[in-house]
Amino acid sequence: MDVVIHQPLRLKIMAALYSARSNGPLEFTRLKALVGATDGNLGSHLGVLEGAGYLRLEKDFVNKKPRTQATITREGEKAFRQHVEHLKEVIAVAEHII
Amino acid sequence: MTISKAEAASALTDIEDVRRRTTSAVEYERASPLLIVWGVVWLLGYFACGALPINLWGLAWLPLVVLGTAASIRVGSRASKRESRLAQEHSLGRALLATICITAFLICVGMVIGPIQSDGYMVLPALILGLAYTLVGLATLPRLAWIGAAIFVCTMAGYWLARPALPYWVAIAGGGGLIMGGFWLRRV
Repeated sequence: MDVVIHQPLRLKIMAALYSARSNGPLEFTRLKALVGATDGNLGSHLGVLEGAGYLRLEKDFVNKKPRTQATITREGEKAFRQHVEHLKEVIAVAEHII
Repeated sequence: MTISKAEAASALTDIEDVRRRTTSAVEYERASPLLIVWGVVWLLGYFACGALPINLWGLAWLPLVVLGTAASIRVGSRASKRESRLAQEHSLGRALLATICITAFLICVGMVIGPIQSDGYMVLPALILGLAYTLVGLATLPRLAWIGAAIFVCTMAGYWLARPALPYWVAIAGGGGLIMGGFWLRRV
């Protein structure tokens, strides 16, 4: 199991970025609303995921306002898929035992 | 570290919930500029109908529709820059097919019902638009259903209550509805 992804908020962040990957990066404010996080909380978890190489953060300015965008990396996509498979396996094994 | 079946099920539920919300947000983001573009076209076109005699309506609408189509293609190509060329061609093909279907439908309605009065020409496209958005919204994206229903109801209200100012009413109900709807779709 991937302990980096398994943390509930990080799992939601990865799910959002994975779902939006064909449309490009997600802006910080949009991501915050989608996963139901606060600014500080989201920032720290994005840092952890970036450190693990699962996402890429890009910072720029739009109309003189700072903008942060996050994109899932290939490594992140692979790790997320594997984690989802693992969760499904846990359920399948538990049901098999019962 | 091991997890229980309940924890795994809860995590999968969270993933599905976020996936559903993200997919909707992405679709709304793609639809938003298109609604705004066609809202502006609609607004200008119906204001022109109010200001010009009926024989000049076509001349007013033609450049607006051409500009609206060009803007839509540009917006669509920007949104689908990460899609394959084949997917882009399919999207363009579907848009052209939809335009042909709507035009054919309006022509057929005219043939079946008989000559339509100028008020009917103004109201019918707005009603079709409202119905189309409502149906698409009910099937996939709920906010489009609200936008469609609002356009439908406002248009009929104008038809019953504001007949002398109908083109301006339809301009604001349809065009304004699309523009406001486009901005609403941008909000998560």
